[in-house]
Amino acid sequence: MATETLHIAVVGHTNAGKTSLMRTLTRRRDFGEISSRPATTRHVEAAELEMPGAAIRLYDTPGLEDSTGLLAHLDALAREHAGDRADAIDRFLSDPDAHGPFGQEAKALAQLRRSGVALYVVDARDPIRARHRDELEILGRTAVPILPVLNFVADAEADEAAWRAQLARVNMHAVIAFDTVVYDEAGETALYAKIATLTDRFAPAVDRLAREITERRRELRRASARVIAELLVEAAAAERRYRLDDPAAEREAAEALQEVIRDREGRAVEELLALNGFAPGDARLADLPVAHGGWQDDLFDADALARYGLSAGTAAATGAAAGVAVDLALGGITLGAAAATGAGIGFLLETARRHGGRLAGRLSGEGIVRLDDATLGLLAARQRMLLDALMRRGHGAVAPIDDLAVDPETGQALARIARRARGTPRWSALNGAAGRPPAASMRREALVEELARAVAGA
Amino acid sequence: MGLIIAAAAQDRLLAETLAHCLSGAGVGAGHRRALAAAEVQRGVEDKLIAYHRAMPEAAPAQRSLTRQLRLLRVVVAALMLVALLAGAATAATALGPGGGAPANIFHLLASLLGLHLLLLLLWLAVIAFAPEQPAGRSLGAGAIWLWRRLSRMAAKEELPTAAAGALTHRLMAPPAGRWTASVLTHGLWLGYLGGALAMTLVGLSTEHIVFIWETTILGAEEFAAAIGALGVVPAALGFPAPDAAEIAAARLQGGTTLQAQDPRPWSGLLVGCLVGYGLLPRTLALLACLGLARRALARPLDLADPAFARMIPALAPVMRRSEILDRDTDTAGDRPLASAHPAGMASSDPPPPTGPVAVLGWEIAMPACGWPPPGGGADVIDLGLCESREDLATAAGRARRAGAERLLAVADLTVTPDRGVQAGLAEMAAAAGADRLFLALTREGALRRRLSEDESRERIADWVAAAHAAGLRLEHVLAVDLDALGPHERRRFARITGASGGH
Repeated sequence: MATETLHIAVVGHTNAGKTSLMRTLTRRRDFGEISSRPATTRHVEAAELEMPGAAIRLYDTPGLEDSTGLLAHLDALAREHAGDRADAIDRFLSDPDAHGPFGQEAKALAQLRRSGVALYVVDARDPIRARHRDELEILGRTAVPILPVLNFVADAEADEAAWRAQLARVNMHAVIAFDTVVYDEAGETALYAKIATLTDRFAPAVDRLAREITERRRELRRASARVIAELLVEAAAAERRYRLDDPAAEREAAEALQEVIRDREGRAVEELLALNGFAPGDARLADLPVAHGGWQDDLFDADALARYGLSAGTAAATGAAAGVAVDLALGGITLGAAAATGAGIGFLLETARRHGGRLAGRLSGEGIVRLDDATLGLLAARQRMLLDALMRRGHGAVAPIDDLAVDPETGQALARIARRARGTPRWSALNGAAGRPPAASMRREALVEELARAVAGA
Repeated sequence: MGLIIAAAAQDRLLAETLAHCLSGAGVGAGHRRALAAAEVQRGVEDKLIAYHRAMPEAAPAQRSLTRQLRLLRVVVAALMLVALLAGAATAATALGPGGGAPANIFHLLASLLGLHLLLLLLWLAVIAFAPEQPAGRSLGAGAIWLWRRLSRMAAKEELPTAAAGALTHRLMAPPAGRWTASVLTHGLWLGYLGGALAMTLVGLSTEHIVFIWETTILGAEEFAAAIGALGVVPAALGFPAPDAAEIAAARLQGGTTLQAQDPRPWSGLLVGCLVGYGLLPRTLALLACLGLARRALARPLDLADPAFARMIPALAPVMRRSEILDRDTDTAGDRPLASAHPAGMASSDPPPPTGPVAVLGWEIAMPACGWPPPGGGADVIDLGLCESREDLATAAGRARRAGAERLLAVADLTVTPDRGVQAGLAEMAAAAGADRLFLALTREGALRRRLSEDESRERIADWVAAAHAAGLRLEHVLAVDLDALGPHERRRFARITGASGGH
């Protein structure tokens, strides 16, 4: 069955953000060229959207640079050959010699005439000018349904209300506010919904596309949540053991654990970025809280907790290092088995130390360092924050976005689930031989699944 | 097990196995070939399956999977054998030594069917009230555990481990897990009951068994009723059952000897109970669970699995292909490139005017300092804020008629100086005379908020180039941010517009 193709032309003034819009809609960072100079896009570039059963093609066009002149030119043509205004446009397009200096505009208009609907992109930060009115006049004459798309609406300078009022005065009431910098899923869905309305016949196909895109976003979110959940489970189950009678051993063990956790977090972040379409060295990385390959705040910085509004409620190991809790081994069974309920028992170690070798001799002589509750919460909170930032990042983004805040409540809630992994060291690939994957276990999978749901849903 | 794993599931298993093995390689000829194979498919899942099937590691992965399946079959078969033998042994013990020794019908039935019925009811209860619970402790889950254990002992390398993991996940993860475990459980119980039935038949055929019942406190009527009730299902299946007289006659009481017993009804009862309360329910349960397990196992690939999710942008991008139409063959372009002209504006201000100066705002909104800008000379001719080309022409005409020496156009830096801008500049230059035209570029602050340092510089250079192309002198182009009019800018503006002595 031959599928009909819906052609959507993206038109507008120079630098209104047409190519940015294309990048966001096609999820391709490398589509076309973007610069602030005039005539950056000098040809029509088509993108075919993949979908079973229907084809939708988006066309990026050169900007309409001199619409005032073009309008005058078209009017002159219309006067020469008495016909209606749509004819004038067709006459202009069909004869390359009649283009004059309007070669770029001709390409854009030709594509427009071949399309079923046009997205007219405007920079909402600009006031409505005579050139915009001329552009709308020309577009109106092509007899193609026009959907104005207000870009950069998230910017402080943008006056969406004024634009809507002005557009209403030329009878354009279906307007989309869409910011290609700060991605808004609802905005994209609304865009496709309005396209469906304007192109009647293609409404089912467009709806299907919108559903497909929403579905993909949801899967991406769940996949990202699962990456974070794996990190948290491995971090919670990670531990290092040391001999109690060796004074330096505790510090060494704590530092080894911290190193391994930092490294693991780094890998999780890399995976998250890759999943969401970020390349290493991507300029947009600078705006995310992942600067220069590492976090801006060290996870184990004693002040980090306070900065993020989390309180270190558990007894942190004294003298060793921040962010770890110490546990004791009692002949192979760890007292920290009770730590599955989250109770840190660092105080026991204090007692052991104070009474020196006597108590240490009675116990099996092994101490265990694990990640403490507060730091686990911090890890969870900032991963969650990163997820939010990534989900909101449009592919057309070139400028920075605002900082998102770490939510300590969410972090603690996630940590409460994750710490059930404590006491099951085989669940973490961070214990034991490097490169060995964690033990596959239905219970571990169930925990990861539950945690992932919590991360995605929170 | 071959019943359960259909061909489509095999494909998915392969993809699941490989996805967790290939540590995001994504390079090499194998990858490219696989990408090509995926290209022809439509649909994300089909692409993923085609990709993995085309990878060079697919063949060893498939072999691993086959080996794991075979191991699973062997384990299940072995367990079935054990169950069969266990059932046979139980039956043999329960039937007694033979030779006419009496066998208590209730003990017999209880030992053969008791545990089975109890667990079956328990299973039904769990299914009814908590179907989402992962299949934890059941015979079926135990069988899987045994298989995993043996598999780990046999091979610890990455590929077999991944294959076993993928297989386990597909079999045991919810929602399939419960049904797979149940299938195995029911199957094993069927084996047990089958063994029991077989041994019972052997016993009944080769030994002389007399069926009795006895009681201390209950009466004959209750027992008759009980046995009668028991006999309902066997009777429905067509097995003979003892009638009241035969039941009464079978009672063993101290001292009395049993009369000759018609073996048929009692044997019929025994076998009928075994079939009706044992084999039949378990078979029905097995078939039901088999159907449900099949459906659950046929579930598609989990696209939210990071191992797949990270491949989707490359394999099944939203945009399938892009092509350039109407490629620009005119490389010269019809505008001067800013790079051909040095960026930057004149360092010194132009000399003060000798006559009146006309000022117009071109495509700008009302600036922060108001219009006309303050500090202008007394001879300033205010042409207002112009928008369209006609306005420009009219304004320029007014300026000429008023005898203005200069025409100062204030333009917005955030506007891209494209051909429309050039046309406007050309129009003003033509109307007022190119060497009398001055260009003040405002809103530099807004420009720097929107663009980076480099881009801002480029934008200013483009404006200068556009002015140059229209014939303006370099020193006639300056930047005066009317939205942030500091004293320095005021002085400049005053000087250009001929304000006398305004400092």
